[in-house]
Amino acid sequence: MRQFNLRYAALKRNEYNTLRCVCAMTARPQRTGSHYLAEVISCSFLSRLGWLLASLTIPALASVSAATDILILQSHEGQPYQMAVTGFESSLANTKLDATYQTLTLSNNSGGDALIQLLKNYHPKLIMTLGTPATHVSLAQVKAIPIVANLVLDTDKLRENTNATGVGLNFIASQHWLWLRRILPDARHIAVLYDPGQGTTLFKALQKQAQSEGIELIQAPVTHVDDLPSLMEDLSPQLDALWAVNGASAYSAAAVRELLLYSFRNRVPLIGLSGQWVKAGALYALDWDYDDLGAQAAELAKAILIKGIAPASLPPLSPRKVRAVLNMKTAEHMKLQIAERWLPEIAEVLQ
Amino acid sequence: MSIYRILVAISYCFCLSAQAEDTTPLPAKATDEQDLLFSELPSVFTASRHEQPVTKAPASIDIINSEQIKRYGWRTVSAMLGSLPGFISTYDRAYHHNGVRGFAPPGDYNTRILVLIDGHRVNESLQDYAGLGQDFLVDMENIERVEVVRGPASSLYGSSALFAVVNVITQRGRDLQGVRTSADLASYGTHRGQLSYGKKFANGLETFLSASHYHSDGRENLNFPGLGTAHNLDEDEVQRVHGKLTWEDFTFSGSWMSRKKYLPTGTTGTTFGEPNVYYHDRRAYADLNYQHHFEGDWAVTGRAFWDSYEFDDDLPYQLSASQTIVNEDRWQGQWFGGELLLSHTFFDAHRLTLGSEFRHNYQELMTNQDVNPSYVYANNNQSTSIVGVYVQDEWTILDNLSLQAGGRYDHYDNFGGTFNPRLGLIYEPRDGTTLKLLYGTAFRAPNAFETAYTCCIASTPWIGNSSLRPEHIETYEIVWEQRLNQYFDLRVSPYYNRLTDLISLRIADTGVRQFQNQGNAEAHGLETQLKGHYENIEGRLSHTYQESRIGGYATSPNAPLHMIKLNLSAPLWQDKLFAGLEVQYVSSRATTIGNRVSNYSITNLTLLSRHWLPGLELTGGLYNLFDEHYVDPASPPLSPDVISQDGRNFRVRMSYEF
Repeated sequence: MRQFNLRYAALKRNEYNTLRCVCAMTARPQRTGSHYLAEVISCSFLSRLGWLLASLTIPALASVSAATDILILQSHEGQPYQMAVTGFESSLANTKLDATYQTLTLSNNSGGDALIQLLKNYHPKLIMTLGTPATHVSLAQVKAIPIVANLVLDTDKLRENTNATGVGLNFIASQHWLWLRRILPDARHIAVLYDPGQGTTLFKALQKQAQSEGIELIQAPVTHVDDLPSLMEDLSPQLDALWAVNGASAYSAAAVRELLLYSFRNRVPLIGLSGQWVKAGALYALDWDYDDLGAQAAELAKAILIKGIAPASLPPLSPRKVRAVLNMKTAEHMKLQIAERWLPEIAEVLQ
Repeated sequence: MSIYRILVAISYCFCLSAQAEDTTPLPAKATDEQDLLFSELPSVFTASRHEQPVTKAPASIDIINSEQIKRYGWRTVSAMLGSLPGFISTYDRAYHHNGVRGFAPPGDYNTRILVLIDGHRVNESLQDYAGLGQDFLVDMENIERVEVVRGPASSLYGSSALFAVVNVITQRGRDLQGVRTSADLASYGTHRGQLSYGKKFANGLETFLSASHYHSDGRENLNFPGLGTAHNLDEDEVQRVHGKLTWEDFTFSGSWMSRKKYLPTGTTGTTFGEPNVYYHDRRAYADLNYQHHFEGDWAVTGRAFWDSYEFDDDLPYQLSASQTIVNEDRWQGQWFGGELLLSHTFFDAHRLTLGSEFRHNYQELMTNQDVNPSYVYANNNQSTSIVGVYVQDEWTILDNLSLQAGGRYDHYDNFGGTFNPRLGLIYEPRDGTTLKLLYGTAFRAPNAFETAYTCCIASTPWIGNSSLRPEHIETYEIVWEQRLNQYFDLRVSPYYNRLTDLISLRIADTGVRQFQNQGNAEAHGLETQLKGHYENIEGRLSHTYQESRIGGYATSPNAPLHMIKLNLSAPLWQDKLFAGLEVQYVSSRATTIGNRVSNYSITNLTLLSRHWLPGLELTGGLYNLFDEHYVDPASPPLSPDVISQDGRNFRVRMSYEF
């Protein structure tokens, strides 16, 4: 596998534009063993040579599956992304697809230019995007290539594009509810922090579930970090839990800290949005199995590349696996007893 | 002085290491954040009567939480306050009292500190007394956190908030969620038992109930130079009941405390060494609080309360070698009142708080008589009322600049009105740096004892002074709070206080005793505190420099020039065993009559063990570890000039929650 790391700023600075290649693609020595400069100089030639060789050999190798180029476009680098890519590749490796990958990482200011540059000479069969910025760039710039988005919060945007589908980060309401009742079976008054920009579908689904069990959910919409101080003042100190269900982008580190302060001061457990929140003091969170998110994306890719199903016919998916992360120290501080029978099902218990 | 030098050296090392860390800041980790949450919540309610970050509050603030109380083994609120910069804790074997910022004359029983329990005023109506020792209304185990706000706060709270406001926030049902039993065993024949129950129910009702009994035989022998040895005269007995019930926006709370303390020192008129000389204090209150945030950012707080303070004593004196007569005081103060507070944010930049308070002291009874034969020396009874209105605006001028301005007008039946403003300009030039420029005035109204107590005309006459004016303080302070890195915070606060119309007892040549507005006082000082925190290790090191002059005294009594305090807590083994070390150095002080008592250094060590068995905690404390012999200046009307303090002593506590 070749992996390229395009940094548009470096591209401009080094005037590699003239090479009219994927330009300033950084071949990772540890993965390829090739030298960066040689890679840059030769990439244009090699890619053309590759296409030439492919066109010559395809008739001869008609019984062998053709290589399928897949571009992985990630918003930035990070362990979750790597895990999702690994899951994606492993899953596709078990198919008859002979996939070859190129990875492009957006730099902070590159926007869509980097992608446009790349696609001038490189024509993947599919693009898998990782993260919201990469997804937005792809949706804006690419109309002819199927896109499978991954690690995105807002899957509604995908539905607006006929060439896109993907796997979202938002868990379905029943998963949220299941874990709430497992960890906090006695909670009766719960404030739900949600991002109204993502619609109220999730809140309504939770509300329906709550009403059927006689539990009061209090709406606490958070669109911006500035909303939090007044929102927390308005919250009743008699709440049983503070439940953040989506809208990660609305929270800065300082805002999460404010929520945690409220939580600890009032001994109202905070249900967080990720394992990081739990490490910082939230009671629990539903975290993601990134490897499986990659595998889910691979299944969409298979349906598109092997079965020829149009992306528009593949509705975006929610994560099917949940990694519940629990902070036992917080549970102790909140004087909560966690039922022993659920502990084996919790992926990570922080002591 | 060697300890003093060592502590100074430690403080410099501490600062230098902090600076070194600053040059190589480490990225904040979530786990560090979590440890911070468990150790201290950097927000405060008391300073502005709403929750705000400490850095935004117009005062120099310290916060102590229940975990720190356990780890340092503080047995009284007074001892806990004594660990803070600027505070000194003194014990005269009758009451504990705390001085602040160079003003700690013996006999001032916390009348110039406003003490609150969950926002309810503790200072009583007859003498403004707030018990902070064994006579505090709430057991230490029931305290969730304590907010200590230095500086004048009469602009929000009215009388007595001259030097500091101490708000003790008690535990709620959710803080316990079950039953807690605890038992103490300590030196001097001391034992204590407590039973508490707390629960937050699924229907939203929340309750907390606690009762305790404390008994101490006290020191077997207490020697008072020039007077003799008091043998088995130090007994102390306390009962407490405390409860809280919360339903939606309403909280009903109440406390009752009874303490009987025998006086090894004797007191005015009694014969030294006479047994059965005691003070008996009873304090109670009931408080109904309503708090609600309405749509549109309107917040309303209402409070209705009833309070009672009763005091009696037996003061036997020898009329002749064969005849002992018991003289007794019977005091009773009862009052009720209400409070209403409304706050709203206008134009996104002005948080306006409007409030009013009313108190009616419907009984202020102070009597004195001999029992057998019966003879009434004093029988004073009166009722008074107080009305106060206040306004405060917190103006966010820029993201990093705010101005807090407020004032309160109080009207008293007896002396009329007084207005006290407060101004605070708070500037954050960069992340982690806060500068506060503070100005304010505060007052203490003449109390019933000072204005109305008339007694003993034929012997040692006391004459009430109905023309007393309130005493005032004017304070200028700068607070510089600096986050050095993710582990260390520094606070430096220079201040200047000027007190006028001080109310103090004057004994005329004719022997007539009367409280009068006489003389002024002033004090300046510098408090420096470095706080550190790394995972489960936390500590603070402070130095206090203070210099004060009080009219009528050649040297301000009980006012050390320097105090250095170190508190350090660390786990010894996993999360099962913690050690809490406390070291305090107090430089020499003057007594009331101008003698000097020498400096002292005391070290307390506490071990806290938990998580061996579910719900079980064991605490062992060694106090005055190196058996330092030291004395505190005494308070009139107790007889000696100085009073020796406890040597090395211990306490073990077992607490079990289920």
